[in-house]
Amino acid sequence: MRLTRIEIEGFGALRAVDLHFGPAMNLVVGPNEAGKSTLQEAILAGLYGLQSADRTRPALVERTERWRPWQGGHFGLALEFQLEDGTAMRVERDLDAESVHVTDLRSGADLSGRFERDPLGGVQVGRELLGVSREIYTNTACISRSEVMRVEDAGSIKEAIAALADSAHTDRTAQRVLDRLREERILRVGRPRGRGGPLHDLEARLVELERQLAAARQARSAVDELARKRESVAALTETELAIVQTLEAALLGSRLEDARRRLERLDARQRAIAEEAGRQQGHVQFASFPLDRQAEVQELRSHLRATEEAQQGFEQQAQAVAAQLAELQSERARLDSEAQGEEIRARGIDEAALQAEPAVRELFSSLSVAEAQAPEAQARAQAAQEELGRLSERHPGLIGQNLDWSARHMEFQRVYSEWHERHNVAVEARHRAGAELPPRLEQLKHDIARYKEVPDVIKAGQEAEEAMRREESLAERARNRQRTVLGAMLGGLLLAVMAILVAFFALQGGMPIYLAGAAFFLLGMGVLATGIGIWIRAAARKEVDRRLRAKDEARVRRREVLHPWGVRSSGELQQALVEHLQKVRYDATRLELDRQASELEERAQIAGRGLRELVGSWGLSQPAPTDEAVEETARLVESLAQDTIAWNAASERAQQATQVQAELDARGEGLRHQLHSVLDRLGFDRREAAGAARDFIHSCEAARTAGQLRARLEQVDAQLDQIGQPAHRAALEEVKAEGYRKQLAAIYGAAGITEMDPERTDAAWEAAAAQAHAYQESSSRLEELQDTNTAGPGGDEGHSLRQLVQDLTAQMAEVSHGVDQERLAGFANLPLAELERQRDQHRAAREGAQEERARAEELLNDRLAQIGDVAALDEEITAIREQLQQLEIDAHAYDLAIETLESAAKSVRRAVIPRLKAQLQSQLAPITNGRYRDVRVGDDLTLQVKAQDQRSYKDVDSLSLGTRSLIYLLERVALARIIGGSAEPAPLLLDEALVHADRRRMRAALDELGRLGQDNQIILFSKDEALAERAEKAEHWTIIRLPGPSLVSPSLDAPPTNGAAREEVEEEQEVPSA
Amino acid sequence: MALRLLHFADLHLDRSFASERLFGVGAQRRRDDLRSALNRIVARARDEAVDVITCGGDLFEHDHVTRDTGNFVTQTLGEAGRPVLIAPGHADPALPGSPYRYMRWPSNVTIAAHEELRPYRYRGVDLWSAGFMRPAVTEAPLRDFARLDQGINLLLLHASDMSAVPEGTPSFKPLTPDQVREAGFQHALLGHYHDARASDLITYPGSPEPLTWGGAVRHCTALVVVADDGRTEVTLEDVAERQFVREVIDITGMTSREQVREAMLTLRDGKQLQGAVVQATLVGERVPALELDPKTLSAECGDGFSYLEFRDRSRVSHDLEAVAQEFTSRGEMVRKLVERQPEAVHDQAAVARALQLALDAFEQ
Repeated sequence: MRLTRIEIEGFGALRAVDLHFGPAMNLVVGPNEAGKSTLQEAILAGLYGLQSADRTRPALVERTERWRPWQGGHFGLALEFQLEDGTAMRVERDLDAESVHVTDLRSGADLSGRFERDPLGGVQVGRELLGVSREIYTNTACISRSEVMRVEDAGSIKEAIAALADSAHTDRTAQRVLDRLREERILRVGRPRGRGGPLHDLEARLVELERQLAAARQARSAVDELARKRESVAALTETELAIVQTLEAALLGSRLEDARRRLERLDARQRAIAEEAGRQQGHVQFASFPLDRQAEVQELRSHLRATEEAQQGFEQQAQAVAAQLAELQSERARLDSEAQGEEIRARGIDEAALQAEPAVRELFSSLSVAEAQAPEAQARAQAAQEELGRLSERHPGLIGQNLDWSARHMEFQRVYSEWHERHNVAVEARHRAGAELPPRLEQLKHDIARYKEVPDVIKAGQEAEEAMRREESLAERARNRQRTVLGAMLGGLLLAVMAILVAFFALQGGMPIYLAGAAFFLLGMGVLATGIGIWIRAAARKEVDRRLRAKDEARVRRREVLHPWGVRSSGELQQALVEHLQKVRYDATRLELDRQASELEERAQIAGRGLRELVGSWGLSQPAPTDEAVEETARLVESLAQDTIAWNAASERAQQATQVQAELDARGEGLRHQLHSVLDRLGFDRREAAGAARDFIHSCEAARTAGQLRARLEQVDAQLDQIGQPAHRAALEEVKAEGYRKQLAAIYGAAGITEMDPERTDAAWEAAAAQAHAYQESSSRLEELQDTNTAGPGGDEGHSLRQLVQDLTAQMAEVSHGVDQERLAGFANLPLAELERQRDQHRAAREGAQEERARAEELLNDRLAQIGDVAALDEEITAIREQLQQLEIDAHAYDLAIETLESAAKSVRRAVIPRLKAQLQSQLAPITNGRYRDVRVGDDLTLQVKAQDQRSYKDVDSLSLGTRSLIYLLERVALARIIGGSAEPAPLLLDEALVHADRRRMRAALDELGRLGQDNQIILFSKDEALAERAEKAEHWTIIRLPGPSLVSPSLDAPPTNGAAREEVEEEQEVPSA
Repeated sequence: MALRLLHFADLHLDRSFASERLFGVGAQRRRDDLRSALNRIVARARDEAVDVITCGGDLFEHDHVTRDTGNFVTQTLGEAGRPVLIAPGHADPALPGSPYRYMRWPSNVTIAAHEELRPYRYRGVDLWSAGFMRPAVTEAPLRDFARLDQGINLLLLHASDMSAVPEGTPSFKPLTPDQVREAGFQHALLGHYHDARASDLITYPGSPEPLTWGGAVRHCTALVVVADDGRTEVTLEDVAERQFVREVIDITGMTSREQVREAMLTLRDGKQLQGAVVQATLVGERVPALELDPKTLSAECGDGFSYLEFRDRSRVSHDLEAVAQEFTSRGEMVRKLVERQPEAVHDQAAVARALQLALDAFEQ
């Protein structure tokens, strides 16, 4: 964007102003109070309106009032500008009505709708076109005098640039904001992971309150529990009371019932005596029946029935086992035949032979095993012998009983490892040292000795150079004096000429004497000044000549000192010295490496000799000292070691197999001898041990089979005896039954029963016995009843019992009022003692319950007192939780803000630093007169520069104030362009930004600004007329002059204008602007 | 005239106002107001010369009630000089640990500590009542109730009229006007709904004092006059002494505390909030220079209020869109934070807060 024109109807001190801007460089010049700042503000108002960062209505009103025309009139302005794409616009602002119109200057179209509006309705022209807010535009693109003045403080450049990069403000760095955020976090929340601070205190308070609330709730639960207990105990008391009352009633009822029963029993006894006497009379005819033989008859009849039943049972069993009996008899015959056969095969076998059979079997088995194992042992011995032969053939003469190749292999490995390690180290060292030998040591020593004197030479050269510079500087000063004195001398001559003319006219025109005197005085002064000037100039010229000669002498000295070394300056010699030292260090290193390599190679050779001698002592060929040969020998030794191990193993196996074979033969012979002796002792044939043993074993087995068959025969005989028993027992039982029948017939006859049929006889006996028995029972009961009746209290008992029943009935009626009848009925069946026991027990329970209830009430009151104000606790806990939640959000927010800002600052600086450096790099040399060419921007935006003849960078704070301020200005402009991004290049408004620049720097700065003007339009505000004069001499500058306040005349209608062309500006310098 | 009675309910003595975010002095003041309301109810009963006072439950809050409050209730109702019939509600169920059961109540106070409906006769009128014996009773009390054909019968319960359930109110002991009529009751005096309402058959007097913020509802006692022929006349009379309101004040554009105070006083006079308990929330965007300390503001603006509490939800205005366009560390930070899209609400709040804190720090 390039401003082309501003028309101000009324704005602060400016009224009716029409100014045209040049496309690149503009200088607004005018004395103090001429309205430069107001014009700057008017430009801002044209772009952004009057709204500032404080977007409130009161702030807007305040700004409106501030910039309202001082002399009244319409409050408004119009700003015209051209965009990069060629679009020309005009923004007209009526600042009273707060209305804005944007029009296309070429087409005249209204563009107001193209722009967004802020909350207060303002059209955001500047923000949309320049891409930044008014605040940022002001902070970045507008550079004020006060800002440049701050550069005087050390570190202020870095601080200001960092603040701009961080916040587009001149005093708000990310670091300060981070510090502030951290401090606020500690103050409001506490340190991260700290054990103090508000968050921690609140958490502790919450824990305490929750503990109190839990205690209160526990007390509330305890209250509920205690109240429940109290109620249950009260209910228990009531229940126990009711039970005791019921038990009392039950006791009375029980006693009443007892009295009634006793009375009833008395009446019943009287009735029973009369009834029993009547029954006795009915059975009196059987009084003499022989009841004493009843038991005998019963027993005989029982025996008879049992005997008859047993007889029948035996007979049935005999019939059932008849078939089995026949089968057993047949089996017995078969078994007897088989037993006889086996006894024939076991002839000669007796008990002693059978006892010896296990020993014979064992001997026979062992003999068989020994005979079977003998061929296998023989085969193993033969295989081992064959392997031994093969191994011996592979290494003729090298493998044998006394050659321990395993130990030799280990020793070879040790020696080989040592040689191999030394060999490798030597090869590597040789590789490092290089194939060729280093320069000769003597030559090196010579060079070192020669260069020892170089520092002195350099020092002498530097002294000569310093003298040259000093003389040159003094000569320059003398030249300056010479030039100054020349001026004085010319002035003196002028004065003298003027005095001569005045004196001439005085003499010619008869002027007053005092004028003539003055003229002669001037003449004298002029002559004197000219004389002095000639004298001083001559002295200065001599001084210049002397200094130049001294400089030449110094140059000659330097040449004499440095020429032998083939250099022209001490710097070159210094460089040569550095290169020489590097070379010396290189050669020394190579020599040392070669020495080390030789030493290592010698050690490797010693190790190789030891290895060859060792191998030779074993009868092997000595290997050449090469990797291949030694490794071949190593493989041979290893093969020998492995074959030796295999030879030893095969030899051991052959010995073991031969030994086993011999042992088996001896064992077989011994077993045969034992078998012969055992069989001989038992009387068996001894012609062949194995066959005889086999026959003996077969005979023994036959003897055992015969014995088993005989045992089975005995079992069959026993079974035959057992099966034949029932028939025998049936006969015996029949005899016993006949005896019983005869005894019964004798008893029945004596009782007068003569029936022949056994069943009818038994019935007649039973009937007569029952009658006789009834008679006896009636008699005895009658006696008992009579005895009981006579033993009681007699006739008074009935009376007293009736009286007791009457009394108890009356008491019962009183006690049973309100008693649970069902429960009472439940107690009715309990005995009196049990009732009394239960009554006493429930009385004790009731008293215990009453005591417990009193205790529960006491505890209840205590717990109630402990509950406290739960509602307030609940509220406080909720409040603290709310605060905690907010604090946790705050803590998270602080951490997030700090982390994000740190990250953002890093990324922005990573982006800004290279661009800043690129822009400054090209501008640094011109403004520092070529002294500084390299610039470095640190991570913290620290600016460092490097002179051409210096090796290290120096901080920009160490430069002169003028240089510093210019660098700052350029850095600020560069940053403004970076922050502006890809939007329209913003016009840069510089207010007295060259305040620290001297003439040379000012010229350089104007040149640089001129170059910048190709990208960004620059409007420089200044009261410095000298600056205006310089700008006039430069190209592409448009000068706008604002008249001072004394010249402002409100009565004049003609507006201050400058026109667009430079010529017109020149003309308007003479025209009052207002 | 057969009977005059004064019915109230839902006093909720010893209530915690944590759910209303009212803490400390403000909450304690509300609890004191609730006690004062009981005194006013008893005084009104004396003034109206009623024969009986009835309470439709939730006289106090079982979880928070103190022994001191129990003593206060027994003393206040004992000095009423007339019978008092209380039907325990869901907030004050007659559990073993309830003051209804462990305290000695005056002889004129009767607690309907039973779950089934039982009649209590006053001047020939049967007041059928039942209480909560556990915190939550969802069974319908009139479902199997045998119709009453004789005499004048009123129903006293803590129950929910299902024909008009307020939003967000849980239902206990549900009943309907039809059930009340079919059961033979001339009128039902109920408790549970905190806004006063009366119809031909059902009366809720509401809570005597507002228990939640705001709401244009009435808080009353019900004067019930039962004629000899059973006709019932119900008059609702407001009994609340204080307003309990939340207000929002937009401080956008205000530049001094004096302006905030003026706004508060204007609000007080405009809405007649004298003597009210007020929680004022400050919202909007404020200028950085305007520092607001809620406690100081409460002290400065508290004249005429029973209790005034400020909550500052305002924020320093920042043009996030503009800042995000800056090629600066600040702009980069805003872009990074805005681009974060945390899922949890907690994290969203933290991101917004981080933006506010960081930008405030840049402004300081």
